[in-house]
Amino acid sequence: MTESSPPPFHRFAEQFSDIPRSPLATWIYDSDELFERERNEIFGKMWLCIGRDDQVPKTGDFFVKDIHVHKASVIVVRDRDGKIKAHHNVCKHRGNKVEWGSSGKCRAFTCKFHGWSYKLDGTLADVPDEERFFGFDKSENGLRPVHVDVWRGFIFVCLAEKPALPLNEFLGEFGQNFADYPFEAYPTSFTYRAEINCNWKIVTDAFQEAYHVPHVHGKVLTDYHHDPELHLLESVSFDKNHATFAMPSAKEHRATPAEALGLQHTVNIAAAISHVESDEESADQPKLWGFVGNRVFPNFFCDVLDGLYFTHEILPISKDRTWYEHRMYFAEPQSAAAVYGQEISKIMLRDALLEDLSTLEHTQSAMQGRVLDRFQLQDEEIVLRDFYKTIGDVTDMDCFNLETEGGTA
Amino acid sequence: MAGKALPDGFSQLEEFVADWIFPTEGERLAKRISTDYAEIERFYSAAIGAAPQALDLLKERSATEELPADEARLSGLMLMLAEVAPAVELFGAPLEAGAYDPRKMEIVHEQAD
Repeated sequence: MTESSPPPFHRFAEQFSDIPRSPLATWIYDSDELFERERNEIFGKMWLCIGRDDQVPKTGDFFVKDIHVHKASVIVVRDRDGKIKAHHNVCKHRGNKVEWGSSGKCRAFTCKFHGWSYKLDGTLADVPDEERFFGFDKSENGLRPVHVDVWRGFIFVCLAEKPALPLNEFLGEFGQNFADYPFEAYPTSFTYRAEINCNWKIVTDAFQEAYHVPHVHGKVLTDYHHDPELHLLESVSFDKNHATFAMPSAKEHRATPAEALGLQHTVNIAAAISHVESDEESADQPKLWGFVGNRVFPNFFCDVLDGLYFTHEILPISKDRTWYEHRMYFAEPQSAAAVYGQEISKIMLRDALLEDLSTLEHTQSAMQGRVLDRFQLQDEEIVLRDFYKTIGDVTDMDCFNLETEGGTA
Repeated sequence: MAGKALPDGFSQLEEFVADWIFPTEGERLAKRISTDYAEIERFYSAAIGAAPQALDLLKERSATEELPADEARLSGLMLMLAEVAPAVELFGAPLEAGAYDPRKMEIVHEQAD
């Protein structure tokens, strides 16, 4: 990127002429009608990423995920064949929960109400006093399955009776373009979780533009001060409701003293985000990924860098409350000094996350107070604008219609 | 405790052994946000000064095997340095003003199943 010629001010508007440039309506964050349509058309029908297979590495390992808007409690478990299965956490007898923990390891799921017991694959194994039931067939009374599939270790479920598309088609170009990313090389993960008092789309907005980076992260990611064009996206592409957006590279990274010491022993997040271009990059070296954000519609971000990656998982609880989980993934540290290097990387990213989350509840409060009726979005916020075009297309409610709450697209 | 609290050459960190070593990120974060900034700076100054020598020692040690007690304490002080470094190097305060309250965030990787 040359200093003399900044990228054209409206380059993405020209490249993606079908994505609205008009202001975004703000009733979308406080609309019961839109939320109900999102609940049905998005969270009831689409594939949702709800975790990674390293959370259930061995037979019998399980976790339970609540998809609140459909009152679904889903058990994700690795069965005896090594396959990942998902079941509704509801006993077939009289609807009690069969698993009360949030994660763990077991041989079978046994309901505490009347002792019905299910194998890991969901089939009903044992029913106390079975002979006293009427015309009863155990083979027809397994746990109700949930559609589940795995892409490169990421576990997706779909609550629909039948998914509209198989997962690999649903993922489209994202699934193809990032199939070679070495996710397995980064098995050391750290997870943070919060329930945030705002609409799920406000959480989503925080992670799909870089306009905020020099400001909200002005103290943590200082390279953005030294290069006034570093926050301008390098490229954007869209496919099947998903978005890929690449960040440019810094000319140099100015590490803090504690970070510089860590960098001698392992990669560091701030350095990786800046992705200083190396003279040694060449065709016969492993592919360098830079810093590429991926919005996997509707609820997942998979942001890949050289040497680490991180994810955001977003699920609405109600119109103004959102379940949020952030995971960062690193290589296994090779020494006790690398453990320090990884720790400072983790803490810097965690502290940056506290900055990302700092604005969200304020925004929700103001929008519920109807202080503003519109948000002005600029060219660099193209991925947000695409998101709201997509929401409008899927729900048949035009998010850019300022006049009519509930106006159809 | 057999012998010294820390390996040879780290006497400047001895005074921090009692109050600045915690086994988990959650406890280190709690220490950071409940400690006067001047105290944090004092710890940071001592720890960053000793860090090159400490990491030289720790780079020869396994990331996964249990360390001798004195080296484990030194490693614990380095992890505390990682926790407070952004406070001193970037924010000039325990936390950035206006940041989301970290006490509202669960550190899931430290929860037992």
